Amino acid sequence: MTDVNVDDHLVTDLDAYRAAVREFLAAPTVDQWRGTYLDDDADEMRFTAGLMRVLYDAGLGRYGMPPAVGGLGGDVRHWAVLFDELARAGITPTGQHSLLVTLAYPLAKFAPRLAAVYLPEFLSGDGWWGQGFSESEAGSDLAALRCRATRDGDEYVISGHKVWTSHAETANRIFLLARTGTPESRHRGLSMILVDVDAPGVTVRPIRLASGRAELAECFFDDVRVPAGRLIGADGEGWAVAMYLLQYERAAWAWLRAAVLLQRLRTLAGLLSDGAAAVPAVDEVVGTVYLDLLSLRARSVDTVRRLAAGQTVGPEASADKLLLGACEQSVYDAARSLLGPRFLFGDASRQWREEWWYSRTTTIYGGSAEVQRGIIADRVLKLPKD
Amino acid sequence: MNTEETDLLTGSLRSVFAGAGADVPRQLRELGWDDVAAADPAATTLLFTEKGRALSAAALLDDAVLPLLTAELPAGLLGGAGLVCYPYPGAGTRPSSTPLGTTGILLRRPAPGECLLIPVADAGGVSLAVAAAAEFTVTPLPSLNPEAGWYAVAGPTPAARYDGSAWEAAVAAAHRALAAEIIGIAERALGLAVEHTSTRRQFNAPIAAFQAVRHRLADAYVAIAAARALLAASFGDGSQSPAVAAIAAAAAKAKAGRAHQTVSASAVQVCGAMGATLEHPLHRYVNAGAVLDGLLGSSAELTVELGAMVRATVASGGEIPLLVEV
Repeated sequence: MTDVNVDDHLVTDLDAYRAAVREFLAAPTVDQWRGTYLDDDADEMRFTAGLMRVLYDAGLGRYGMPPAVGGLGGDVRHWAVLFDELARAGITPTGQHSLLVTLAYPLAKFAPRLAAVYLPEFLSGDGWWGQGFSESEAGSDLAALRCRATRDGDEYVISGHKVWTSHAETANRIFLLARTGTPESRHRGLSMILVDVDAPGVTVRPIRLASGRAELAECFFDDVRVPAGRLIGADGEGWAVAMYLLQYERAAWAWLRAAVLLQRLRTLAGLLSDGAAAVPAVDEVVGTVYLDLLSLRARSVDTVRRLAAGQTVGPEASADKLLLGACEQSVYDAARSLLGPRFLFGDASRQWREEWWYSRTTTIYGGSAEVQRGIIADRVLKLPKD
Repeated sequence: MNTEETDLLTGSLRSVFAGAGADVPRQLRELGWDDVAAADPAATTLLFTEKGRALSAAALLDDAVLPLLTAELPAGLLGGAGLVCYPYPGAGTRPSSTPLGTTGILLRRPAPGECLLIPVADAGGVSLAVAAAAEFTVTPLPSLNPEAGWYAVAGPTPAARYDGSAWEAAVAAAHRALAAEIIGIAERALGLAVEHTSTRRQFNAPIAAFQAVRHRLADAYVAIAAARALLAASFGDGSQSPAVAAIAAAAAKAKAGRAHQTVSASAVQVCGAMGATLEHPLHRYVNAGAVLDGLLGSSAELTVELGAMVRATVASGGEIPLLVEV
């Protein structure tokens, strides 16, 4: 882990880090990932693991995390720069990246010893982890979850099931939010545990979304025994870990998505520019998407900077989440309406169609848009409830 | 500017605008506002946000725009304060005046002997003309907002023409100021809707307790938050090119106008019949923001211009301006 020479300059100087990443991504070394899209999510994850490895070996994929957990130093802004530069180079930030920027920080904070052992595999592309939160009876009402972890000596015995776990088909571990308290304990009786997918009793069943792509999966836990040392945070502290994690989802992951969406807008604008003459009806749609993206980034930059400065992000981050969902749908609805038959028909637009369907879920997962509006109404606008 | 300074300035500005019929420009001079604005351009956002919240009709936009336009003009050309003849709405950010004729809008009635500064769409771009207001027909301009106090200008365009290269930067400054003002107006409209729905009871509950109402108001909040973030970002880090600064400012104004539309639609709906009366103040905020949106390119026009810019940029292999970096 210490074989790469840490360049302190890149830790403290984001512009220098940006320049280094830009130069690296201009090289043919990464050409195989430029503009590449694979229909099958499992294939794509295995393919992009190669990019994680290349970035890791170059050192550039290790900034943003402290050396104690396999990084080279820096903060969450380094990831934001990396995602921008990947997108700029025509490379979609990887599925591994989107999991990493939400899971790495809570692990490093609440379980530094686990992070020191396991994060290097994530950074280097050797492994990636699912986020096992939702259940079929606990979606928007996450605190109602029932998957149980029972303490037995120095182990937990886990039984229950999780659903909508992203990339779980290929993940080697799961960040599992389980109930260690009484069934009625709601958010107070939850604990976060890092579970190996290859442990006896774990079964993963991919779920095909409406587009046909199996990005999500269902995970079954049948008396799975996990060492108590795999606890992330204290027993009963699971909700706090999950809320800490959500801040990174609202900030770093939103930044990643904005970078991807901008890349898609560029592709879409390119497809529409055959004649390049101004067409107000088209320009109105493109301009609306552009405004949505600009304001998402403008909003997100504050949230990212606050996290980088060690501040806590409050209920107003629900606005970030709502803007992101709206932006996702704005981009893909624009593609659908402006490409017309080119969207509906032909092999060339398979990716547009798949991503359009996926964009429908962006106002559902990670706390639905309705839940976010509720949080703003309750905690920001402080509207009376009765 | 730190939070403490911001709060202090906001407090001072509120008391300036609170005085009914007060001479706002004079009070701002007494406050030393020019020095504040020179030290931090973003102070303009505070000023115009408070102006919007107070629904002040003071012609402060001229003070923000004139120094930029007159920097390259012969000294003393304008005489006294002078007024900007803003393009008559409908042509986006382009001047409505041509070498043949002048049309436009004044934000206040010209004093006797005062001169107008007129942007003119010339073959080579934008030039500036200067002439006494008395040489034009100046009439009160009826509009959706009867409180605006604007005037319409019409007449022949003076032959003498001056360097108009500052027009783009002047429009950008105006866009940022107008965005702030529109956001201030929208904030108060949302505040009125929150107040009304929190106290108005139907079905034995404040109507703000109903999810349909809560969600509309949450969306209104998000629209304002997005516009405010984009406006803050539009000032850049000081290294923006003039072209990018113009794009950023136009985007900020477009987003503010759209946010105002969202907020207006929701506020009018949830305030019910009371909100649609002259007795209730809501209509003043709905009207004021909509009329400001029409100045120097409406949100609809600016959105189309930005979309055309994005397509042209991509077609020429350029990079779409992102405005914001971490």
